[in-house]
Amino acid sequence: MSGDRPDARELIEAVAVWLAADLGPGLEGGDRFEAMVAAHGLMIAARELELAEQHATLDAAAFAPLLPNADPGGDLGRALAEAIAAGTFDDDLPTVAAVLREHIRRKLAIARPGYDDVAAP
Amino acid sequence: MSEPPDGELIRAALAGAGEPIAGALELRPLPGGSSRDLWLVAAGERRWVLRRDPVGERAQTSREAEFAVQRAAHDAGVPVPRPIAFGDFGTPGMLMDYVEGEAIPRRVLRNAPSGLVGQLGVALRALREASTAGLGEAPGDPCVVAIDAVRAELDAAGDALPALELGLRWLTLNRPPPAAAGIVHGDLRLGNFIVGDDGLRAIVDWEFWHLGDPVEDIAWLCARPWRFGADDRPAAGLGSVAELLDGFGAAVDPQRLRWWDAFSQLKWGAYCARQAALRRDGAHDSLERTVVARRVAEAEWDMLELIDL
Repeated sequence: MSGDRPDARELIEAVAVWLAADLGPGLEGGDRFEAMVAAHGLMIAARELELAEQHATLDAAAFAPLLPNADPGGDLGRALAEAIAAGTFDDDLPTVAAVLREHIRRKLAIARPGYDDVAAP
Repeated sequence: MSEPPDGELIRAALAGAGEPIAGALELRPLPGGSSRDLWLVAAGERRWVLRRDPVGERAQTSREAEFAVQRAAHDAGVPVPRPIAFGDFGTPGMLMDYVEGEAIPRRVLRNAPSGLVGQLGVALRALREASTAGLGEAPGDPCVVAIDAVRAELDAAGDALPALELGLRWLTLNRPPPAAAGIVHGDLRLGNFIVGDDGLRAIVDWEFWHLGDPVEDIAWLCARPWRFGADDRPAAGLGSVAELLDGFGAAVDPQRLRWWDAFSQLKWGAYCARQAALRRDGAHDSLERTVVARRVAEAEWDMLELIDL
């Protein structure tokens, strides 16, 4: 917002691009592989900086209706995980699955964009 | 590189197994990403592999038990390196024949001989027909054992993963009837078998073996994370599940396979989640393991697709 540029996300992206396009290709074998892993990790971090806040809002809005007794300001993801494990939704798993599918799409947008595009057997 | 094992211990073990060597013995470390300490043992034209626990590590699995299962598999005609001797080589380990060939996944995929998937199926058939005598007590319900193990992994990781919890709940509520237990390799995938021009030469790395439902190995072999992008070849990125089942030679209930397919994603997801916790605890500082933890979302996605609620 009011900080200097490049901001955190731009810095991280710049280092990631450098690792993948400049340093990495000049390395051999295991080192090259690790440079690519490093770039991949940094890009996840960059996307998380961009998307985490809006995802948290969307997750809270999606989970709250499933957890009428939970503190709406609390950790609804953990409350949902515990409720599922306790068998609370055993008679209606499809409803929870539908909500969680969208939650996982959001996580994939950060961790592996496009993974949910491919229909895998 | 770890300190080399004592050549005299190896010489004595080979002599004790009826394969004495007279001349000089050469030891070379074998790279390859195994969690165990691997050494190539050469004497003249002859070759063996020593596989032992890394020095200084408190091993989570038993090399003696691994020797026993590899011998059982070998006796049953499963392609595995012939096990020769178990003993103390500085740390517990086993000597086995050296098997020439390629194990690196990308290389195997580039030059995969046709029929490899069928051969994997046939190997799994031999494994399911292998005697389990002397390999310990079989679990009453392999699915319950599997669920309990994943539950423990998730609890140890400590993160809130509602999608994995949903998968675990579905698995708990939809267990197939307990199967007669057989030998399960426990980590059967590209990278754990040696391939030559003639096809499958040896299944290696039996570290995670257990007695259980043989369908578990079929499902793990066909799991999406190790198809290396080849989603059109679900059996290890090499071919079709039908080819694999053809070699396996026994009817596999589709619901049972689907259960173990879903379980495979859950096990993989729990593994991913665990890597982050282990790093926080200082148990490792591997970049690859740290970043792989973020693949948990992929496991959650694939698991939801499989159970298709």
